Amino acid sequence: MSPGGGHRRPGLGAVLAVCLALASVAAAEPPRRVVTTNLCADLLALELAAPGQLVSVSFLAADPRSSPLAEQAAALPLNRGLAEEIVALRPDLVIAGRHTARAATAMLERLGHRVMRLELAATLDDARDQIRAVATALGRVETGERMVRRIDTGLARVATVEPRPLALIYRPNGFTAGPATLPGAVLAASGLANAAGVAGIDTWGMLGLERVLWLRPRLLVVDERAGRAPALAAALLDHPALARSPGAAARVEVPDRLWGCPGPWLVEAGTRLADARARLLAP
Amino acid sequence: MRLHRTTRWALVGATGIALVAASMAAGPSGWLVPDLLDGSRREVAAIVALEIRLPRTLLAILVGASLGLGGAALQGYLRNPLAEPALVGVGPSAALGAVVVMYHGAGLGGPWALPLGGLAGAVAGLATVVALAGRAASPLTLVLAGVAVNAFAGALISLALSLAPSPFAALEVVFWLLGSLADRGLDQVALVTPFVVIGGGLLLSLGRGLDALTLGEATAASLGFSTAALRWRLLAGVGLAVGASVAVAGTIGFVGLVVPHLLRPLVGHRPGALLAASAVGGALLTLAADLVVRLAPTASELKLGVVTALLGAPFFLHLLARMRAP
Repeated sequence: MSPGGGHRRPGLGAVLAVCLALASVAAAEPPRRVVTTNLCADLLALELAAPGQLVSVSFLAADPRSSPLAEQAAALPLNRGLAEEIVALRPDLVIAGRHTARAATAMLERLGHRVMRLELAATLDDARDQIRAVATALGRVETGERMVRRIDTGLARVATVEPRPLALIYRPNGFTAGPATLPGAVLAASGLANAAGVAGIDTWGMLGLERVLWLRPRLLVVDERAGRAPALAAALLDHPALARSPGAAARVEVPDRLWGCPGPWLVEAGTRLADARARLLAP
Repeated sequence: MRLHRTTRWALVGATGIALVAASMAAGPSGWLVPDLLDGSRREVAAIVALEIRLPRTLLAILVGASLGLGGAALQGYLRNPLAEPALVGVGPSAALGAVVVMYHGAGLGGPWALPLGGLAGAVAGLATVVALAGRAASPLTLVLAGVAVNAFAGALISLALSLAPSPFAALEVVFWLLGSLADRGLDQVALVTPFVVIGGGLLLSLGRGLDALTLGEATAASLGFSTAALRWRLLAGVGLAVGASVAVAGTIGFVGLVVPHLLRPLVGHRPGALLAASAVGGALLTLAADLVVRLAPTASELKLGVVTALLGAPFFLHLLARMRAP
């Protein structure tokens, strides 16, 4: 599948990767035909796999609304997580989500395929573990370490402790993310307090308009508006009460694709939040 | 219970005031009155009252009055006790018109396009049912025609939402088929008010014509009420009032069926007098149902149509059973 010049990336990293790969070669030969069937698995594999190693990703990875790597994904054959299309790709490693396409994943295992399942990352530590696990499975340990370092240095740049203005992640239909979620972790890492946590929402939940007004968040973290098709779900964010509420006039757009899955895009999400926080605290 | 006319209307007025007060005070964030008196909480409480609960209360009144009035006018004109906006397909057709405009109109014509879409859908649905069933058709024919239009419009709503570009659209079929007044703003109130006022005026003006129609079409014609003119005013009135209501609140069933039946004995069985009474009754019933929706201890808010159907469906069955009895 790879074009003629599909060599590994040049440079020190590649040399190290080769050394590490050689060091672990006794344990297992790196897989040559990898198929991923879950958005977060798709994105990690797209970032971490060697050229030609990744054979197919799920269709979600090619949707620019949910995927920061849509263009790269569109160049690969896309799957819908169905067992028969995956078998036809003859993979030697399938990376799936714990909760997506479970029947298909179980069937692939029965047919003797090697399957790796990813949990939903709920903290930055989860994200680091997941990056390392996928990198190891792909035989790309050093590429994984580089990604973790990139995220850590990027988020360390935005990390501030005090003061922590109250922010609310507010999505269509009033959906919000609490502290024990990846968006919540990025929010906390960017020096903001999470209003959903104040309202007693730990993971994911919904907050009605009235409760949002009473929480008095100073910053609303909304999804990006450009190019979104109309729906009642989004009309909630246009409600005049939100614009008039004291202190909640400030908004920052952080698209879902920047913090739905572990990866270097988390840094971009954190930077946007930190910039919004700085604007909020500016005299 | 025989009450003097004035006493009766005083009772209605008191109920109305109580319901409006409750509707302003009750909601998911508690009773606002103490908050309005507390200096530090007054600002947020005022926004909740004016921007969230006031539009909700006004919409319940406008939408409920449209549905009650629409039901009374349809029952009078078709001389059929089962005529009702949602049951004869007007509601779902109006919702279909609004859905097509909202999700596939690409911002065509600004905010006014939405009630106009509802209007077009309602008129098309009603015209189809009247054409299918014919005037003064048997209840059975009317209900069958209504079922057909309802099913078709409902299927097209699902299809239009599934084909919509927004990932949320497919989930919103619940709103369009069961209705809700949650989190609507004053801008939506401003949008429907002119439609409801003009449509409601048209329907109220049908009163004497509908009274004459009870004597038969020939007698009505000899009294100067042509059925064709009545029909056009009915179509326009229902289209404007019910069409615009559905465009902002979704399909809310059974209000237009139950209210005229409950009030008919009180106004001496005159379809003309029933019109204004049903408008008031519809507004009160919808306000009350919306209060139930807000105060019910459910995880996410119930849809308004669920409560009106819980009240209305047994009533409908009772009506059918009584019609079968000799």
